[in-house]
Amino acid sequence: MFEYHEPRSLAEVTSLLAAHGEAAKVLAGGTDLLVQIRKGRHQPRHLLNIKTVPGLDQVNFAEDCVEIGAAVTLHDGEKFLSAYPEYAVLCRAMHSVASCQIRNRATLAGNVCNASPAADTVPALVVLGANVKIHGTHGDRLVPVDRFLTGPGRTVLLTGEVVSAIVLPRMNGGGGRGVFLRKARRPSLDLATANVAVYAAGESCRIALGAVGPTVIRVREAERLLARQGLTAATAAEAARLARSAAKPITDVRGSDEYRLDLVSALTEQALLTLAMEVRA
Amino acid sequence: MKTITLTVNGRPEKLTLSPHRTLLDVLREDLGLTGAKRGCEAGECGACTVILNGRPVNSCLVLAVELDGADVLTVEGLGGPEGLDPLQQSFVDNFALQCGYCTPGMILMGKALLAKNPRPSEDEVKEFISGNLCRCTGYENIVKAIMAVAAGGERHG
Ligand SMILES: Cc1cc2nc3c(=O)[nH]c(=O)nc-3n(C[C@@H](O)[C@@H](O)[C@H](O)COP(=O)(O)OP(=O)(O)OC[C@H]3O[C@@H](n4cnc5c(N)ncnc54)[C@H](O)[C@@H]3O)c2cc1C
Ligand code: FES
Ligand code: FES
Repeated sequence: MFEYHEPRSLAEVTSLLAAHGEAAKVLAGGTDLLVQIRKGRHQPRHLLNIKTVPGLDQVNFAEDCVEIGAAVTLHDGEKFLSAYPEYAVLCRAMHSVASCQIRNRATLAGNVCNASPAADTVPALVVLGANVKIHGTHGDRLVPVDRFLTGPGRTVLLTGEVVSAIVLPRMNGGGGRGVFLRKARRPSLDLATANVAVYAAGESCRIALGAVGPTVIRVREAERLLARQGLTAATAAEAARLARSAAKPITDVRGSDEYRLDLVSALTEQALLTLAMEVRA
Repeated sequence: MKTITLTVNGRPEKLTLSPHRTLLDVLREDLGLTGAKRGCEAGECGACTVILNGRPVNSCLVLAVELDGADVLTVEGLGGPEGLDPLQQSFVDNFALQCGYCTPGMILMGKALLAKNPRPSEDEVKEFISGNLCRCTGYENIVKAIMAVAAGGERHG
């Protein structure tokens, strides 16, 4: 049994978190948290509904960045960003999560904070170079998404800290393009067996893999290869091989480690070939 | 305990609730509205689907205390004294239900889809209801029933 709070400011959230420590949990959409509470995996004594903090449900376009507030749902995030082709990779990833009903509640920030190795938005955020904006008693700090996540269910958040927004760099017509691909046992309502995001802007290309390690994996060796030799059918195949050797999958109900390695290689190559066509178009 | 007021199927309701109770609990146990079904209680089956502030959600994953001022539509809010809602009638006409456990959720998903996209393709219907499981029908007649209303009854097959 827990006490329910409706904080009206981020300051109130951080002071409640600081006061109650481990016994307090932030409630965003609740699509992970309520299931975890029901399964007995968490027994918080205080639930802090951050949807009652004014402004957190906004997407703010600034000169050099786009701030997606911590209460913005996957549905709304996708709607806001769908007009910007450079963010299509993230829209695709947000749309891949669960079902229509869940996307109407689940938040983008919650998908990151839950720190599931299979979280679909994470590889897309990583290739876009997104940051997590953290609010604490001493002010704000920005942490890149891949450094924010430290293991399954683990993040760099300290006691008293809350995520206030996910921050995307503004491409300002720079015209990057990305592709997100995933494979699951069924298209909806199943976590990915493996997922891949790739992004190219100018000469640089980024590749991130999900569900094949404790946290998201950047395939830097393949990125360097593509920067040196450009994106072709041959370099895409070589990058896929490098992605395969960077992955560290486990065997579980969704697939064996061997199958996941094959998926990583196939999805990476397919994503890069699709990207090559999009960049040319 | 927290007291909230919300609108359910057009009727104002005032409820005093313990914070751990879900919207699904409150609909079924306090308001006697058993259209929304308890299936998995984990967001996986869609049997508990209701329309919250215009959007379909899993009522098993919403805390009722969060809903002060909210507007909720359940399957009981469809149709009226003059008869069934056209989509409900279409489910009957197209044999789109057997045991009926998934039906309230499926019908509300159909309503939500047609409200924002009056002429969806068959693939759009399938994608939209992909968070709703049906153990009996094999889905074909459910898709047909929604498509029949989408086409305003003009299109067949
Ligand atoms: C049936 C089902 C299918 C799913 N399928 C997928 C899928 O295919 N792909 C996928 O990626 N995910 C999937 N998910 C999980 C997905 O719904 C969540 O990860 C969701 O995005 C989490 O957001 P939320 O707002 O619901 O978070 P909540 O459940 O509210 O919170 C999740 C965790 O993050 C913490 N938290 C949330 N917001 C903050 C914040 N601002 N600051 C600090 N901590 C915070 C909470 O305390 C909690 O520990 C599925 C879930 C279900 C139930
Ligand atoms: S009971 Fe809510 S989704 Fe199954
Ligand atoms: S009619 Fe029985 S579950 Fe759908």
